[in-house]
Amino acid sequence: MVLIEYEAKDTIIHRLNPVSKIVWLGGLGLLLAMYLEPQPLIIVFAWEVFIGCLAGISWRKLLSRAWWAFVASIFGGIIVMFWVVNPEQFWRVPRDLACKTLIQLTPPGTPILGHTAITYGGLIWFTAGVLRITIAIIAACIFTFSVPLSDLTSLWSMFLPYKLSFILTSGLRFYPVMAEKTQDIITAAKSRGWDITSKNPVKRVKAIYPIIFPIVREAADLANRMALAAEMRAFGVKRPTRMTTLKFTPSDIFFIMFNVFITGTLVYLWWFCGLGKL
Amino acid sequence: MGSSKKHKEKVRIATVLIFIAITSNLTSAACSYLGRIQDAKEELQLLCIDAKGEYLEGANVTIRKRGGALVYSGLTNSTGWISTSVPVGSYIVQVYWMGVVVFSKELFVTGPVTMIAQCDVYHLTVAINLLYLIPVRHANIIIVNTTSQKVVDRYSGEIEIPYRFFSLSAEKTFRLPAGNYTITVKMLNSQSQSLNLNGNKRLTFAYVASLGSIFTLMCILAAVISCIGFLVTGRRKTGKSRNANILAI
Repeated sequence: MVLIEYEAKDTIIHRLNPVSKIVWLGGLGLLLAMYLEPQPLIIVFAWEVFIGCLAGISWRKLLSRAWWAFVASIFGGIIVMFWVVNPEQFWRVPRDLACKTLIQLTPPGTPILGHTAITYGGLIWFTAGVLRITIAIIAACIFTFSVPLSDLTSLWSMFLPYKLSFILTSGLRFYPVMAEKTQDIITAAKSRGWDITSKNPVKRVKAIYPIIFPIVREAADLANRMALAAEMRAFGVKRPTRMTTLKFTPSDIFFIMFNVFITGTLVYLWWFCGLGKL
Repeated sequence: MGSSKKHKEKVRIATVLIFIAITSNLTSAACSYLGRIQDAKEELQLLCIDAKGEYLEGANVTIRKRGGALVYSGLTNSTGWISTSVPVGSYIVQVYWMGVVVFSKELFVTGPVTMIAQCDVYHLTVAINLLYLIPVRHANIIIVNTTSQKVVDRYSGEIEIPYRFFSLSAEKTFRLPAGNYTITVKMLNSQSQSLNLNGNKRLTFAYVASLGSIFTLMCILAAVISCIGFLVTGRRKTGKSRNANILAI
């Protein structure tokens, strides 16, 4: 489910309240949605690397787990770039410069594809797109690396009705258990000669049956046991007491202030000075 | 004998009369031709550009005869051109920009003339960035000619932030004749600078602030202070908890 799992470390970021980290993630998301130019995204990237270093994330591990996402973003960016040929796609960059064609792929009026070319504007668009996806992936990894699931559940239990909160938490807790059980079922089926390497799609679908049925049965059994356990603990009689309480420390307040001021400055420069607008 | 003498005399008179008639015709033809030459007008087209090669719109162009008589006076159009017809002759063409002669040349017109006048008009770019970093988007700019002590140009309002790859700068460009100027920029405070304009120049005003730029500066300072605060308080907390753990053990 996540590229990098939570690691219980004693870093300055790990000790923060999850609300502070959500503020950071929200600010970053807002800036990524606004900026369409690569230059200000470099500032955002530096900011993120700073947080990542403070969290003590393993960059090598991150690269080894998320390399496919970076490669996919590059391919996606290249494909989108070919269609960035229209002057109306630019507001601030001089349109003559933005639409200057470097290599023309298909001339205007080509059926289905239309006009495609590599332009300066397209290259800017591509770089910014790849940077945005890269920053988003790294931010998500830092967040999941530094925020335990229990903190998140206790956080949303503060806002959501406790029954809904229980459903969400159970769903999240179910995932790793079910993934482990599925792997066990597949291993057991393989030991009995189960094979899914056929190229015929009908045969492939049929081959999934011996896996699907035990998984569904296991899931239903697990849900039943959990419901029984909850009932035995008198769940639903009154609002349950929280296991942990989330406290704000001065460090949290400073961290939130830091993020709010950085985001505020960058939003101001975007809105009034056109920083990051194409 | 007598009749032949009379005949010769008649022939001589007739020859003289024919000669007189021919010469008078030629003279009148020559006179009319010369007159026509003096009245003939030739087309004169002039393109006025500045030191960067950009069109000078609204420049005042005068064409005078050598004696000083004004033949033509007019303003250039939006593409920097003037077009007129002048009689054949010798002229002095002058271009005025903000009341100063920025181009002067003697011209002998014998046929249609198209001329490009590169005038001594230079670009002065006034950049207003608080501490060389934060653009000031609104300002009042006054340009005074130091020699004549006259305000030659002024601008008040929003200042554009042109697209640059690696900088963010509020800039306003003026086109001025060569000379000495004092430029004053006013917003919440004011700053003045003097310069001798003899080429395209850029002048940066780093100590003029607007409300927006001060807000941005305060936000940056607050971010830096809170970042330091975060790092310091985060570490202090670790120290305390470690001490607490040691004591607990």
